[in-house]
Formats: sequence, structure tokens, C-alpha cells
Amino acid sequence: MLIPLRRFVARLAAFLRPSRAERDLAREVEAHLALIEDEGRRRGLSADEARFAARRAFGGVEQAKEHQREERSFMRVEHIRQDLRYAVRTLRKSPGFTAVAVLTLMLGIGSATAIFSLADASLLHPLPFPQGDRLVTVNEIVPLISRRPIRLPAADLVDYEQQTHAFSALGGWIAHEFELSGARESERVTGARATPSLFDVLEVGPALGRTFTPTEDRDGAKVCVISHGLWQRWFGADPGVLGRTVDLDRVPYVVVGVMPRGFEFPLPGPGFGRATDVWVPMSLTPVERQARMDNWSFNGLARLGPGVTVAQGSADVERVARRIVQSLPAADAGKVTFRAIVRPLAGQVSGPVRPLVLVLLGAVGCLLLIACVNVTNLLLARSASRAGEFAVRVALGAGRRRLVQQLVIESLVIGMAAAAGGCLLAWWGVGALGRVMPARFALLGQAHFSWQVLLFAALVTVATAVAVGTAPGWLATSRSEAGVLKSRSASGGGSPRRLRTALVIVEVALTVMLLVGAGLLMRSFSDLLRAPAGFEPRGAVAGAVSLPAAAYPDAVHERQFYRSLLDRLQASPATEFAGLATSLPLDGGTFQRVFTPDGYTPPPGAALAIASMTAVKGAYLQAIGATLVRGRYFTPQDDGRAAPVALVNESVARQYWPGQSALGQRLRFGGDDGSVPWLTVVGVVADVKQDTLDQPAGLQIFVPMDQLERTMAAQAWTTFLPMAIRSVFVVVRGRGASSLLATDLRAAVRQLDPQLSIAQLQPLADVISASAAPNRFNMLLMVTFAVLALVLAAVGVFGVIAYSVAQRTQEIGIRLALGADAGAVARMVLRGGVGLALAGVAIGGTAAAGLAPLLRSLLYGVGPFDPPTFIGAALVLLGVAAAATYVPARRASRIDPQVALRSE
Amino acid sequence: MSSKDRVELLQGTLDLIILRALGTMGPQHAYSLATRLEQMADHPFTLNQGTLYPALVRLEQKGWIKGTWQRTEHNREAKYYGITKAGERALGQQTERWRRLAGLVNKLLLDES
Repeated sequence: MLIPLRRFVARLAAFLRPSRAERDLAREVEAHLALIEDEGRRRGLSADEARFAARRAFGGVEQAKEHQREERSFMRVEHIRQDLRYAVRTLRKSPGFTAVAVLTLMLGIGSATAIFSLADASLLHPLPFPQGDRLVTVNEIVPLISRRPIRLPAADLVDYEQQTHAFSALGGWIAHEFELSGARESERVTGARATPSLFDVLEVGPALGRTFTPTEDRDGAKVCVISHGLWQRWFGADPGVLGRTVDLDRVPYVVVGVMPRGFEFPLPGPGFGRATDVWVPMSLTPVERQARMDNWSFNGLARLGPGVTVAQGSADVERVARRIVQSLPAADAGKVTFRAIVRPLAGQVSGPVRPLVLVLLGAVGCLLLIACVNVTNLLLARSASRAGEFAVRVALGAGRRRLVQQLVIESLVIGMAAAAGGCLLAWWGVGALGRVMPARFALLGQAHFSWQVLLFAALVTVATAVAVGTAPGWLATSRSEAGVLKSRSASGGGSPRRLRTALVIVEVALTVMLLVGAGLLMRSFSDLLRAPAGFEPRGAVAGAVSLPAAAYPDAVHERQFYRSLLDRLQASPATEFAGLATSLPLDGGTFQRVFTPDGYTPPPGAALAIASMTAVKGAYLQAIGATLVRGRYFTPQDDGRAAPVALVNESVARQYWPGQSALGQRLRFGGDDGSVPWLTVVGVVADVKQDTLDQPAGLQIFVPMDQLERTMAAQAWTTFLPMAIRSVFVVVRGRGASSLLATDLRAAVRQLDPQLSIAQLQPLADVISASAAPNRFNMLLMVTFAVLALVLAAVGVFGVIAYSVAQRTQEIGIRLALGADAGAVARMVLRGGVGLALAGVAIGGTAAAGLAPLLRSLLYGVGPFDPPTFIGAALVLLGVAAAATYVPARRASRIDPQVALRSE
Repeated sequence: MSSKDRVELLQGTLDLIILRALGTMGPQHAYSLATRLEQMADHPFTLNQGTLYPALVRLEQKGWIKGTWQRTEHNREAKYYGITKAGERALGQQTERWRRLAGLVNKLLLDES
């Protein structure tokens, strides 16, 4: 029916603009009275008599108006409006209380909102693409290599794209660093080779121009799509950029499209810190097209078709995979097999940050609870002092419900002021966090204030306000009924005080939990920095160089450049050691190669032995300060003509030659087919941390770059090695300041090739701190929350003890009058405070022990039940509680019995 | 007259009476409506004339009557309420409902006695 709706709209209009309806009503009633008066006068009444008669006939004017208002508008809401006005007035009258309550809740709501925005960005909306939850990665599982899903050979990617049906689009990409040059000084940019279908998978189109076509991909057309950022940086946001060229690795490419602002793919994340600026067609080389069961380097990405489940998608790629396995050449058939699966992209993107975000959510939840407890306590104390006011209102007929409503509205007003401040705080905090966000948490850096975040803040605020307002309201009004008017001193009565004590114990317990969490992360962090990284970062600088294929077509040219560079660096008096290698400690990227130790027979069904292989030229190992455990480093004599040699790390030595010396042992790359020569182990180095500080180094083999051509299988040499040694890290260790070493290094590169740029030029120590950054970030956030909690808990303990001292002034006065020692009184108060803290510590410690295992994935070196951390947290809390109790205790001991007994 | 003798109007009855009065008499202001209601009742009941106002605003918000400011014959301003088309339809439905209800109640009361 439309009638109720129509009525609702009319009432709403009257509610929103009451003045007009009110004027109308007054005018109508006025006119009505005048008409009755007229009638009276016509019947011969005097003016006064007529007016009284009119009033009598009409009845109560104000009552009639009030009843009309109730019909006309929403009176419950009207009451709330009155309560709001009243609340603002009362709060303004006690600015001290209001400020403390608002600030406390602001901290709680602000922290919760900030961390929720991280969770919103990382767990709820990790993918900035339309229907991102339909995106899946395509992976293969090759039991011989690993049980974990890995990437794809290019040839398989092509088959998946052409032969599957479950996907609305399937594409692939492979990251590629380009030297960008042309109009300006050259720089290194992160790029990707991508299939044309990748943009269909992502369902994101360019802001300008177009993406590339299948024809361009097939023909190897030199076209590129650039990011919005590069468009602005390199082309000054020129709208006529389409058709202009840039040099990528010294080959001219025509710009055909510009992606929209904010578009990022691949998403920055673990092992992929920087945003991608250039996309070029995949244009697979003939070698890439042919290699099956090799070079698992290509990323597959697909969008599930309408109604298709992940399992159905997996079944579809698996069907294609079985066909590929059957078509493998006889040599491989039967020996090797693999499966194909698809997995949701969202989970892989948010996976690395999920434990951290969940822990932080728990931490801010505790902090918010602590803030609520403090404000509840404040309100309880305040409502005790307002008992008289409530009693008067109850006596005048105010309903209990209305009084509770009044108090909840007061806390809502506090909550809303706090929410406004909290949102500002969170907004600032998220911005600040974004600036210190380690690259590994780039996903969290995308946090921003979405409407979900604001909705969350609003819900938290309302829940908080109702939580902190209800109990004090209920207790205050129940006391009023008990007849506070008769005896003001009843305001200290039993149940609120017990409630306040219980609340403070809860608060202390929550704080202990946060302290334990923060303590564990602090201990982890210091262990992490103390743990041996396997190299000596001080006194060395490193930089990355990538030789464009157009200028350095083959390994001969590459090695010539490297030789000249190292000679030049070595000639400088500041240089102690100079060398270069295909990987850098803690940089992540390494080449995983299958190898066979001499005489080692793997247990049946075991995966192949795979190590990260680093090709080295010059005194690289000396330059990074790798710890030589046994044998020798490489020498210039280990060249292309000498007998092949290798260095292994302690993990390799321990795993394959346990109990014997690794020196003189032999190993070779590839399977056991005997096509490549043996390498003799001439040295053992300590494990060099490769991915991150908190992950073990794994198996590592170092080989001279000049011997690669002979020590690797011919196929590997043709497929990937020229590319592999095209990008290297140059490391110089010297006596001077690192800035001078860096200048020397840059100058040396420039002198050899003026166009070549050196990227990531930094002291090696920065590599360590960058790697520790995520751990530092985790720790700092937890410590911040724990310190805030500690401050709030101190305020809470202080508040309760100070209040109870004030309440017990008479009692203490009597004690002192009867001859109690002032020190004994102070100790009694102190015992009360420390007793509270002890109870809280016991509960909190137990709860922390229960929850600490959740932190396990964030810890390094310490267990979740680390006794020093637990003891430390307890001591800190007891100390703070004692300090917070000290002031009230002193005040108690100085109470003047005469004054105390006279008051009230 | 003591308040006990006042007829307590059933919820909704007053609305029906007002609609009916406006339907037969044409537009009226609140005072004339009140006077009319007092005259109409054969058991003389008085209502505080102010009690009309909640009913009037309710009916107006439902769109069944419409008020306009006009001059009386003695040149006083007053708000005249007239029944609307929707009001006439509602009057028909409400009258029918009332008759059924009244019949039912009558019958019950007769059976009881």
C-alpha cells in the first residue's frame, strides 16, 4: 500500500523541517480560538468571558499541540535530538573528562581503523582488477623438482592458452628489466613481456591508445605499452605520445598505449618490489617455443569463465598437461611427468601478509578494548558523582530506559568526536605507514580510505559507545532507584566498584598479551640482526648492471665488458676486492639448477638435487666478504681453459658429504647423463642468506663464469645462459667511504659504456636493512600498540586506585586517627594496585601463552613461549602499575584525619 | 459533565466521523467540524476541540483530506479541510468495514444477553 509510505514521507518532512508545520499549527489553533471567541461575543459574552470559554471548549492547548506533533512527526527521534543537545551541553561543562575520554577512544578507534584499512586492502580486496576473485594462476607441479607448484615452460603456456575451454581468457607474462634510453639519460625500468591476452584476462584496457595484437606478438613487432607513471615521467604526460619511440635495451619500440593511472601488473610483492613501467609483446623465440620440461620461467594467468569453479579450471589445464606428457620425446617419456593446476591469485597475493595483518588486527582489537575499559571506568566514576542528578530526574518521572538512553547518547557523542579524530589519525597513520612500508608488503601500501573502511569506523564507534555507555547507565539508574537522594555517600556502593576492579584486571591482562607479542617480535628482530648472514656487508657497495643484447650480442662481448670493468675497478687504489656475479645476497633471484654429486644415489622417488647456482667473475666472494670455511676462493687461474672448479656452501657439504671433507669431491650440473664434465670442489663457504634474513640459505653452488660454457649442458647454454649473465651485480670492497666506492663504480661503468646505467647502487649494508625491513615494520607496529596499551593501562590503574582512595578518605582518616602508620597506609594502597596488576598479569600471561603460537610465522630464533619475554612483560607491567599507584598511595598517607572525618 | 460520561472514541472512529462529516458537508474548518460533531451526537458528548488536531494531521498526511487557508464569512482566516478523491474512496471502504464490525459486535452483544 502506498498510504503508509506517503504518511512516512510526510512525517519525515515534518521531522526534518519542523518550523513550518509548527507555525502552521500555531496559526490554526490561534484562528480556532478566535472563532470560538467570536461566537461567544455574538452570544453576548464579554471579551474576557469569551476568551475563557474558548479555552474551555478547546481544552489544553499545549496538550493538543503535543498530540498533534506526535501524529505529525517522530517523537522518539525527537527525544534523541533533545538528548543529543543535552549531552553536548553536559560534556562541554566538564572539558577535562571529555578530553580524556575522547582522546582515549580516538587512539582505540584510530588504530583499529588504520589496521582495518590494511586488512581491507590486503585480505578483502587484494586485487585491483574487475572481479579479481575470478583470476587464477596456472602452475605446474613437477615431482622431480618440487612438490610445490612452479611456473611454466613457454611451450606449455602456449598449449594452455590454445587448448583450454574453461577460461574466458588465459595469458602469460615474464618479468624483464629494460634499459630505457632515447630522449633522456638512460635508466633501468622494470618491464614484462606479456601475451596480448593478458590484458583480456585482467579486463583492464589502456587509458590511451591500445594494447598489442596477436599479429604483433607473432611477428615480434617492436611495440610497447607504458605505465601512466612512465608516461608522465618520461614523456611529460604528452597526449601525442602514441607513435613516438623509446629505446628498450637499445632497440626502438613504438609506444601504442598508455595504461590507466594506478594500473599495476605484475602486482608488486614478494620478490617483485618495483612497479612495472613497460609491457612488450611476449614474442617467444624459437628456442623458448621448443623447450619442454625446461625453463619453468613463464607465469600463466587466467580468468575463470562464467560459472566455472577453480576445480573445473584445474581439470581443464590438467587435461592439456596429460596431452603434453604423452607427446614428450621418448627419452623423457616415462621418466618425467607433471601435473597442472590453477590457484586463485588473490590468496597468493595476500598470503605473505595474512599472518601479520591478522596479528595486527588482534593487537588493535586489544587496544580498542583497553580504551573502552578506560572510558567505561571514567563514565562509572562520573556517573557516581552524578547520582544526584539522576535521582532528581527519576523523581521527576524520567523512565529508566530514557536515562540509560541519555547516557548511551552521551557516550555516542564522545564516540563520534573520537571517531572524527580517530579517522584523521588513521588517515595520517596509513599515509605514514605507506611511506615506511617495506617493498615486500607493497600490497599493504595500497591501503586507503574506502567506504568499507569508513563503514567499519562507524560500526566500531557505535559498538564502542553502546559498550561503554550501557553499563554505567544501568548502574547509575539502579542506584537512583535505591534512593541516592537520601544518602549521597551510597555512590561508592558495591557493584560498580567491583565492576571497575574487574575491568582494570581485564585491561592489565590485555596489555600483558600485547607486551608479550611485542616482546617476542623485538627478541626475534634482534636475533635476526645478530644471526650470521654469511657475508660481511660493511665496507662494500653493490650495483646492478644489465647489458643490452643489441650492443652485446653474445657471451664473448659480455665477458669482454666485465673483464674491462673489473680491471678498471681493480686499478683504483681504494679498491680491495672487486667482482661480479649473477646474484646478490638477500636479493632473492637466483638460478635453480639440477646437479648431481659424484657417487650420490638419490633414494627412489626423491626429488632431484637442486641448488641455486651463482656464476662469479673476479673476486666476488671476497668482495661480499663470504666466510671461507675450508679450501680456497676462485683465482684468475680458474679460467675457461683450466679444469672446472666449484665452491659449495656448508649446506651442500653437510648434505652430500657428511662426515668427510668436501674438498676434492666432484659434482656436475644436469641429470646423470654424463654429457657435461665434473667440477671439483675447491672451497667451502658459509651459507650466504639468499632470499631473506629469516629464511635458511638452502643449497648454494658458486662457479667461475668463464667456465660456464663447458660446465653446463649445451641446451642450457643456448637457452638461458647468455641471458643469465647479461644481468649481473657488481660488488666493490674498499677502504674508503662507501659513497666514494659508489662514485668510482658508477664512473667505471660510464667510461666503458656512456649509455649504460647502474641500478640499485647502494652499500651492501643497505641490502641487509632492506631485508630486515619487514621484520622491523612488524616489530615497530606491535611495540607502538603495546606502548599505547601500557599507557592506557597505567591510566586505568591510576584511575581506579585514586578513586578508591578518594572514596575511602574517611576510612583512611579513621585508621590514621587510630594510630595507623602513614607508611602502612601507603603500603596498603600500593598493595591494592599491585594486587590488581598481579591478577591481570596472571590472566594475561595465560592468555598470551595460548595465543602466542599464532605469532609463530612472524618469529625468528625465539619460540612463542620464550620465558624471558613473558617474565619481562610481567615485570614491566608490575613496575608500571606500582608507579601508577604511587601517587594515590602517597596521597592516602598524607590524609589529615581531622579534615577527612569532618568532610560529609 | 464529569469525564466519566465522555464517550471514549474507538481508535479510528474519529477519523471515520471526520471523513463522513466532510464528505456530506463540504470543506469545514476545525471549529465548525467540532461544533457539527457535538450537534450530531444524540447522546450529547463533548470532546475537547483540540483533540481533533491529531486526527486532522493524520488524515492530511494520508492524503485523504486537504487543508487550505481561507476567509470565513466574518472575514476571519481559518484552515478549511476538504475531502479528497482518495479520501472519498477511503470513506467508502472504511464505512463498509465499520458496518461489518458494528454488525458483528451487535450480534455478539445480543447473543450474550
